[in-house]
Amino acid sequence: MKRYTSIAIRYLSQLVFIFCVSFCTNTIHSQTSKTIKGNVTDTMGIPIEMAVIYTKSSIDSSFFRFTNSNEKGGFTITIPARVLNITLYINRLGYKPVSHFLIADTLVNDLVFQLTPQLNSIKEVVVKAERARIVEQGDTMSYRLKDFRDSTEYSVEDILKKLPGIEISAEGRIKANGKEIKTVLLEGDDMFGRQYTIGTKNIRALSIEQVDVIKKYEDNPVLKGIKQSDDVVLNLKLSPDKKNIINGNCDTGLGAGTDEFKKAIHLNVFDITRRFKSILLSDNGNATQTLNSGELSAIYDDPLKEDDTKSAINAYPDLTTPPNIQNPGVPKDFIDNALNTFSTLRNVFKPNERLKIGLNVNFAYNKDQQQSAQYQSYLYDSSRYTIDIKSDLQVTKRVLDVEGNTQYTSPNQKTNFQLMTRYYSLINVFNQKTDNRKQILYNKFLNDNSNILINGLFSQKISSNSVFQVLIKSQSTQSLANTSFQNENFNIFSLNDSLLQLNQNINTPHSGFLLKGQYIKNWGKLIFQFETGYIKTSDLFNYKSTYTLLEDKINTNTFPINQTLTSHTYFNKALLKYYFSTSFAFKINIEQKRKNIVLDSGAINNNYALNGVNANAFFELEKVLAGRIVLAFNWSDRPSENLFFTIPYFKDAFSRYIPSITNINDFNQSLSINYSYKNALKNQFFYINTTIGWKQNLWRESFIFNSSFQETSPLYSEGNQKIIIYGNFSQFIPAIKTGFELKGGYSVYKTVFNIQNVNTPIKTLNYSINPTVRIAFRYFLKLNLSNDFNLAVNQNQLSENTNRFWSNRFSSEFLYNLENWQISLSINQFSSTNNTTSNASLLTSNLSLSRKIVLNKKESTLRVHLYNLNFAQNYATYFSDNILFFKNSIEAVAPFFILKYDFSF
Amino acid sequence: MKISIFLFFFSLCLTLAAIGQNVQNKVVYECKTQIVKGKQHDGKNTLYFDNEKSLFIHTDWPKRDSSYMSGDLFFFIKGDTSKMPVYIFQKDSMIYYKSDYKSSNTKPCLMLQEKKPVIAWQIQAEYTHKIANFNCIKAVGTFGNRIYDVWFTPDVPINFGPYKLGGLPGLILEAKSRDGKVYYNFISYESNINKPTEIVKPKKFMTPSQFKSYVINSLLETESMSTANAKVTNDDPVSDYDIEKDKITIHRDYKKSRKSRD
Repeated sequence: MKRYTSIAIRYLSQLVFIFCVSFCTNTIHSQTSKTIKGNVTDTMGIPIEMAVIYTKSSIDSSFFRFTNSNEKGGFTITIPARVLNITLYINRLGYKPVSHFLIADTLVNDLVFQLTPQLNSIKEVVVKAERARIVEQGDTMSYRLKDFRDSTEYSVEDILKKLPGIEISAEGRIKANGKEIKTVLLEGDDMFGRQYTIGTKNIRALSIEQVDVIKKYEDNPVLKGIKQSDDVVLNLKLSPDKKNIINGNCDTGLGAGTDEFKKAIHLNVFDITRRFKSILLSDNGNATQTLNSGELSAIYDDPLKEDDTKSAINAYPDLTTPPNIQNPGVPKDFIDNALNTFSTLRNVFKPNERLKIGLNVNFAYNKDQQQSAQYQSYLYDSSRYTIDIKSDLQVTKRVLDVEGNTQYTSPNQKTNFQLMTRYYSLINVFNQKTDNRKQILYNKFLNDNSNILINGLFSQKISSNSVFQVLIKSQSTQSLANTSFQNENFNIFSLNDSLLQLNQNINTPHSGFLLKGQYIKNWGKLIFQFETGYIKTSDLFNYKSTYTLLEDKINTNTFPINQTLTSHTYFNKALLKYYFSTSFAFKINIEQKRKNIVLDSGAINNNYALNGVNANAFFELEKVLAGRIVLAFNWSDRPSENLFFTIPYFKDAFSRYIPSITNINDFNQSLSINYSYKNALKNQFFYINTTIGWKQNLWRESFIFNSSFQETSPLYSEGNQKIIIYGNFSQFIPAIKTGFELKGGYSVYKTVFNIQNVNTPIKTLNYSINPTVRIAFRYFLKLNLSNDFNLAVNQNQLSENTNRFWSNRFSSEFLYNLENWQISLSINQFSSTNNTTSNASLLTSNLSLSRKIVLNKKESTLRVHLYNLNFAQNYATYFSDNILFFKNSIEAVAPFFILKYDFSF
Repeated sequence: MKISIFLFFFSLCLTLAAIGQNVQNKVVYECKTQIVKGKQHDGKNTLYFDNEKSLFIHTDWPKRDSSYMSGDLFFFIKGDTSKMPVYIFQKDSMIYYKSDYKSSNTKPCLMLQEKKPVIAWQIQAEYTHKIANFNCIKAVGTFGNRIYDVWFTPDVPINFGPYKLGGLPGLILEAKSRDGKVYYNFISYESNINKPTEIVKPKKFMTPSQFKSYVINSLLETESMSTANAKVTNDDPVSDYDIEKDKITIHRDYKKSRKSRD
């Protein structure tokens, strides 16, 4: 019995044990959380306070618990019961981190972690690599310029070239994301109008902190919210320390060359407050870098497109533009001995929120001289005739430009009135001596051009969604040109060693008047715009020429020509825009124009009319797709053949029929087809263009392949076919801060010329390759290498004559920064040769050494430039179309040095 | 000999203790705000810290008094050579910070004391991200009546962050309030800096109750200028005046209690 009892007790105890165990286990598993306790000490056993203890689960990535050790080094961390396996991390600044893997069932409460000090704590500097350098907010994209500077940029234009999405043409005109910008604002105010390159080329990069690209910009407060503007503008923002005080910078220098003293002063002065903005930009000397006064003589106007008061009515043809100094594409200071004086003072005054008054005064004086040579070779009847010409050219240009503008907006922002007046005077003088070995020609030219504009724009809001505008423009221009021409050793008319003197006086006064009414209504997604207007222009062409053969003075003759050209244009235009969304719009534009032209030249009196109806459908899905279909039909009474001389006046006389389809998206893939036909001079044009490309950001790689086929029939030739294949591959490797770019192109062009009733087919082949390497190895070293190689082959397929022209341009820039020192070397080499004449090359250089100096907590720079130390040679360019062959050569500037001091105040 | 051994170990201990304690690190943020007082806060901010304490300064805060107009409103900026510091001491969970509230061209900034805020962070460990070389984890929490999304890094095991943000098992590198008004963006981190900045408790400061009395006294002083025709009073700053939204409600609370007493 006792045995059975003991067996029963044993089984019972086992059962109780099993029950207890299972109960305990169940109890544990049914708990919602578990606790881990431990201590953190150092290697000496001293408790460590404020150590960070956290747990992560290898199974559940969302699981994370943490705590800090107390003053005794102890910690308690609670984890959910469901978490089985965890890793415990113990970490404290200055100690090596420790981790410990725990299996849930073996959790213990007496964990001790010893942290080992990091005896040789290595200094660590971490800088965030990818910062938001470009911020896009709504229609504004902001570039923080400090992230794009590398100390090589001088003017705003230099730094704009470095901003992604911004392209700058050789003339300085800017495109932002493929769209031409309308103007450049300074701190939100338009201080340059369309002459914005005056600002971008002359304002120093260091003054500007931020550039905003503003899309859909509308200046007129009355039109805001009613007219959906497509304009894009840039807004330059100064650094905050340059506001509310008069400040600026000055880069001034003195030097000497082998032939003359060198001097330069480039000055920027800013006085920018909320109500008054004034800037003075000035660039003077004969060794200046960024002068841009050329913009002053540029006229931008299309009376049908410009709805503001900032442009003239109509451009008139400039028949008398003197020749420019030749520049094969080298930096200006290497080849140009010009003396420049240029200053612009621009002010905007806003006495209150309603009134804005602007006053701009520009003055420029430019004296250029250049010795050049021209070699001309004519291939005729399988024989080659050559002329060798040496030319000595002096050009002087003086511009005075005063512009005042006023803008008033009523307090309720329903009425706006703008008035602009401008006086502009340009005087051009050039003297040229030309020696072609057989004759010496003296050519003197004087052009005095003055222009007065008065423009007014009245805008009235009729209701909350409609506006009515009246635009009036008037313009008067006086243009006087005098040329005198003297020829020594003129052997025409079989009169040997005679001297011919020819004087010409051209007077072309011009006046214009424009009146335009415009109505705009906005129904939210649908905008309707209608405009009607009248333009009158009047041109007088007064020409008088006198020639005298000096040897027998009796032979003097005068040829007067007087022509008056008056035009009356009536136009109506309707535009319908529908916005499916903020980024997708569809527009239809219908335009009707009639221009009556009266030409009175004494004996001949001509009246004729130009008529046109254009329909233009356009859609745009922002950044993705854009398309345009243009249908235009213009017809005209053709001007008489004997009025060919005045053809430049009749740019509108050609009829056009141009359908075109263009698609473009963010991946640089596009297809465009253009066809046009101009019947006045039988000019046909057919064009297909395809572009494929890709871009990817990881390695900043891009590839663009462009091919096009054109068939045209320009003047005096027919059957022209042109195939162009062009590729561009670029790769940037961030790790070594190095970018490679390879451009290559091939084109073949076939033209048939009719020479003496014989059709002569000319085939021109062009090959080009342009590899570029840019290395910015850390901040202190930069190296840019670029090479342009071109080969042109002209084949006369009738005579089997072939000309080959090779040209190569190599440029390298080396820049080394060390603390406050900077050394840079820039070398440009040009060489060209062909299979019929001798080689020519030009080597120019600029070695500069600069040092930053801090005076009164302001940074300034002292630098010395050594130009063309290699004693520059002549540079020659070649041009040939196989019938004619031209070789132009110029001389580089003689070696000189200049010491410059650049400081801010 | 024994003395030499003792001295050696003593100095070693000191060295180790020094390594554990005094290594000071620095992190630079860029602050962007859209609050009324944002102009002063915006720009570079720097946090100096070791294991136990931190000093946050507004690096670009102007040194001298200045003013500006925005629209028709006049704004006064109180200059501060110490760059409006925020001291945090972990051990006693206290914050000492300078405030330009009630300052003027004659009245200096106040040094205020307050308890370190306890932010109930929700760590979203499934969201990880790399900022510079740091492995970061996302956390969401409410501070100063704004909800913040922050990225912290356990690689730097301290509880600090920009301004008064902190309490996570790692340095906060980026913080953005969901209302878009406050944004701290990481710029750089430097460990073991050569010239450590002294982080010591300010000697003079106002406790919250002292500050409350000071503000109420100032209100009463202002109100004492009232006449029979014109009532003069002070109000609390607008809701989005500072980084901490609706931070100061002393006037409102006092006027309310005064009204109920009346």
